[in-house]
Amino acid sequence: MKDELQNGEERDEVLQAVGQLPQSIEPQRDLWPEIASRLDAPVTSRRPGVQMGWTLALAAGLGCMALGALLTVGLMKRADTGAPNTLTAQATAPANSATAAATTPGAADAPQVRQASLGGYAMLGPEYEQARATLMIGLAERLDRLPPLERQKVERNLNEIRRALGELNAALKLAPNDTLLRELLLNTYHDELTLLANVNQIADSIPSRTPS
Amino acid sequence: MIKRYFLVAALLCSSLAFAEEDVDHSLQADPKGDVDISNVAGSVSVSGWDRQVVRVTGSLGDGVERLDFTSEGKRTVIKVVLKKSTHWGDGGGADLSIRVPSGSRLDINTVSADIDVHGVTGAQRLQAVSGEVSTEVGAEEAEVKTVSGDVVLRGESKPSVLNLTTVSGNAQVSRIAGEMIATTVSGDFNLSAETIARARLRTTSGNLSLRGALVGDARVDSETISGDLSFIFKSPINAEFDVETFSGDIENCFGPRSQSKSEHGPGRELHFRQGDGKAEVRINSLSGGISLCDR
Repeated sequence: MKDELQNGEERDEVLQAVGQLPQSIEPQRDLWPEIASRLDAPVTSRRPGVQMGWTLALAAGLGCMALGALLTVGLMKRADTGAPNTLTAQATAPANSATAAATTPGAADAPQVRQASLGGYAMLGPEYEQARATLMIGLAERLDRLPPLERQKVERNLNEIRRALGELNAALKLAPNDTLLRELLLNTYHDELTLLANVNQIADSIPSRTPS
Repeated sequence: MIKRYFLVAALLCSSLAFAEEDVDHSLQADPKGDVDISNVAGSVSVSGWDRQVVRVTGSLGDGVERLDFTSEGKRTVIKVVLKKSTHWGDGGGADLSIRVPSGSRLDINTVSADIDVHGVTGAQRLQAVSGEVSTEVGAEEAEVKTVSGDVVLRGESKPSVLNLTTVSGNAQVSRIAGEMIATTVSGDFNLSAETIARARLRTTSGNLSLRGALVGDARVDSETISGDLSFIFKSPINAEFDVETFSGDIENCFGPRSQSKSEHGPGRELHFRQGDGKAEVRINSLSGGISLCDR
């Protein structure tokens, strides 16, 4: 385009056309009354949280979530004091959750740790990833303490959350800059962690039995 | 003759198999002490009284190894211990009726045993896997968690803090006030509050409704993925509303109508101020519908 404009003839034509443009365009109606009424209207702040920008909000959210996840795992580790050594070993599983699930004894039946979008769980930070992996591995052992029907319900609802994550990620592909979707996605990741932590905690609280 | 012996033996065996042991024990307890109760199957019914005594009556199923009942300092523990050989659904539970000082703080854990609490004014922490939870709460904090158990919770219109979580259990909450956090994956929640100061409500696919009056600087933050959210606020409403969906509908019966977020997208949004707008109501949804109304 630049080269074309450097062509003298074409440049003259463009300048000529620009020169023929009107100096101003009068609106077909008087716009001022509408502008004035809007200026007089009370100022309503829309979504103050969003004003700081979704990237900042997302970063803050991820930080909070990782912190929450670490706290959850920390509390669970404390609750696990006195539990079999295998659980302690699981709690210090490596950040690579899939490897952890595959190599930890007794975790063969653990629900698969799936990768998600938003850059995958890895993008949520290594602490989050490790917290989730630990909860997932602990879940397999704890689910065994629940009645079979309840176990199925928990698994069905975990799948429900994962289906929601799938829907959100699919929608994000269509609208990658949608702040609503990003917020929902972040909170749904958090919901998954919360569900895992709650189920683990409920299973831990199940009244004990004596040896037969 | 031999047949008769067989019959008697069979009857003995069957009566032993279904043998139940009645219990009736009492211990002194602190008027505002902690009472921890755990049971697997059967039921736990707790009621408050004005005596400084915890009394446990009921029956233990044949799968029960023993009932631990201790009281030390401010803590009373009632624990049903099952035999290792007892399997889920073997009827190895216990039906317990427990009287506690009305100011006690309760911590109850069950698997399929139903929990029923009334007349207790202290804080409550109730947890069941599939058991149903029915309770009355006063001004103290209440935390109720279930996997699939349904929850019925009645308040006394006194400001308190309620934390309610289910995986798939439904909840019916009435006459509460103050702060509430309600979270479910697929359960349906019907929440009715006298006054709402703070509410954080989350559902994945369950439907949730909230009814009540917003206090001056109330904050309501609600989110759903595919479940429907319904709000009925008592008039006059003084709140600023920020409602947004990615693809769900928004219905509003007292303020402006929602608008499309974009020319071609399915999303809707609704931002408006009602009255002086001191309270804030924020609702987000992926595909679930949102309904706002006044009464």
